[in-house]
Amino acid sequence: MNIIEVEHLKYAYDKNSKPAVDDVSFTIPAGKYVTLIGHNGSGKSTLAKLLSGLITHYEGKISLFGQPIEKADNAAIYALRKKMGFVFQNPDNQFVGSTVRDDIAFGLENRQVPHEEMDGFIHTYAKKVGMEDYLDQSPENLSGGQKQRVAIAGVLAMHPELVLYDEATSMLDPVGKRDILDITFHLREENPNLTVLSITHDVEEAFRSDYVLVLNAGKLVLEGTPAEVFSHTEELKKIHLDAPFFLSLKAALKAKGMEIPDEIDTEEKLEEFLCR
Amino acid sequence: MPINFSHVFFTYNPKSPFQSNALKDINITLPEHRFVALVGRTGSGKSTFVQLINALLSPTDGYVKIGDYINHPEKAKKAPKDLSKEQKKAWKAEQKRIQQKHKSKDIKALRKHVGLVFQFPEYQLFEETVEKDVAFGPKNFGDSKEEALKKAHQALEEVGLDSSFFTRSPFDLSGGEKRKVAIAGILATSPEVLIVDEPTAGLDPAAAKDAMALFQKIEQAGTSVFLVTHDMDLVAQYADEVIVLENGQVVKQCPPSELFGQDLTQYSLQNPHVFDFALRLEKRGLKLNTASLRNVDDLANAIMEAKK
Ligand SMILES: Nc1ncnc2c1ncn2[C@@H]1O[C@H](COP(=O)(O)OP(=O)(O)OP(=O)(O)O)[C@@H](O)[C@H]1O
Ligand SMILES: Nc1ncnc2c1ncn2[C@@H]1O[C@H](COP(=O)(O)OP(=O)(O)OP(=O)(O)O)[C@@H](O)[C@H]1O
Ligand SMILES: [Mg+2]
Ligand SMILES: [Mg+2]
Repeated sequence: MNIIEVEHLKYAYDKNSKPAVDDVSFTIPAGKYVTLIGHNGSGKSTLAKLLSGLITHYEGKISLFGQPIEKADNAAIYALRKKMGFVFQNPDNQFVGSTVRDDIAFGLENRQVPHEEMDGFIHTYAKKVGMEDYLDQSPENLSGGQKQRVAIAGVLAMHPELVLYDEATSMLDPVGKRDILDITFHLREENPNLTVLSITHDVEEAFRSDYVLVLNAGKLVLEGTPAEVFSHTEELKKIHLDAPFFLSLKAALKAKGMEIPDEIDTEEKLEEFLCR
Repeated sequence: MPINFSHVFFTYNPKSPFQSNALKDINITLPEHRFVALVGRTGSGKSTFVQLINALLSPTDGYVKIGDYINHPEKAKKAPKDLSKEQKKAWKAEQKRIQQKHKSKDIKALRKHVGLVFQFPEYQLFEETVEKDVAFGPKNFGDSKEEALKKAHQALEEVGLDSSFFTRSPFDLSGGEKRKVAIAGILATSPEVLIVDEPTAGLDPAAAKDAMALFQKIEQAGTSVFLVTHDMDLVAQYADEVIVLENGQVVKQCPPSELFGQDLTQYSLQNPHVFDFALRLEKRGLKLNTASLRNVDDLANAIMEAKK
């Protein structure tokens, strides 16, 4: 089943302005980790707002979990939203509770976890993101990266079937960032149907994902596996994007005259190749 | 401008259930006219540290000396018990003098010299148009309206926002566009000390590169630059010196090449990609010269050299 299906989606903030999302179509099947990349102002967050229902008037079609949302009634939309977890670009817009504990509890209530099991779950999720010592703190009293950690815990606690990250790890320290990516990948082992759409400027994350969508000025200009997408080095440069470390290094070595066969297509293989 | 932290403590919400000891006994002299990176785990105290430099926060204890300005605790300190009457009087007079300083014009002068770009641009933006927002700083520090606008337009162009953005509302922008406006707002005031708190978070790769090149240019023209970042690749590439904060304390101050190449997970950090890869090659027996490793090109050169 396709978890997200978008057809000729178009939206402009003002009648007179250029559309922020301009005739975009794509599908995301269940169980995929998809990254959405694109320059600043290319329309990524707008697309996220359209999918999350924050923007309701648009042209084109959106289907979630196989259901066209234009035709769904309020009850159906409510049921759909409960299966989706969003982490917004600015975590300040995310918090609903007055403490970290309440905030995570909100995600749990949403999936009707029995009261007596709440505390255990809250600890589990706080611990997953390394925030177990801050349960009684108010989210606004946290550092930038701590806010992002709590926002992520709140969403994971919901056990969503679709996770939408809008630059959810942009302010995490390197180990924290790696941990969150690992947790997200790991969750898919527990639930093979978990689908992730992650908006990111981190090309390394995109390189690790199953599938990459590339926006440029509101239009979807490239999509495919990371290997396919990042093989378009020059085109990507033109639209403000970069190559991941591995490809940059391979290109630099080639430019200096080293011959590297095509089958060397991961960092590990390159490492081994160089040490032969 | 010399900057010196002496026995600095900072506690959020002291004596409440929300108390948080963000900085603990910091003693450090910051280098001048250098490109300095501040790194460390989320919550280690970086944003708190930099806000003490332009007196957005005042220490709970100890002081920060920034040029002629001394950032003292806001609350008057109680005199020690064993002072004589005269000594007590002198103590009180000194405390009063310190207190008045907080309200004086000195603080405005300090902020003219020390510009800080916040971690969240949303906290910095407030005017109704982008150009007014960026012009606010220069105007506040004495420029005419025309002069301030001119500087604003120039700064905006420098961060990659063309004239189509000038009269838009800063609140109706994408995340990265907001970040650019916030950076321009500080650049427009040409500070002697430029502090940027995670300036590349939310910028696309090209914009991040441009911003870093801009900071480097500013540093080379004689400004001290302090960069708070989680991106170790940037530290390797741009910084002359790196300061590591951990649990509210400075645990390292050294050139990046000295920090990198060892296990940094204890600080929740990782080596830059180039060092990480070099280390893995070394483990497999390919010895590389990592002394001046800064970017992918350096790494490629080192590998070619080692393979000769
Ligand atoms: N609330 C708004 N009102 C009007 N225009 C907006 C608003 N939010 C965004 N825009 C504009 O719509 C376009 C797309 O913005 P969007 O936030 O979707 O970009 P983005 O790809 O998420 O960028 P970033 O990487 O900077 O977060 C941009 O040109 C932006 O200026
Ligand atoms: N407004 C506040 N009220 C109470 N505690 C706070 C507040 N802001 C920060 N803290 C706490 O102070 C400590 C240091 O926070 P700070 O924001 O300086 O960290 P940081 O190193 O900048 O982290 P990050 O990389 O996540 O931005 C953290 O433990 C944080 O929870
Ligand atoms: Mg965005
Ligand atoms: Mg911070």
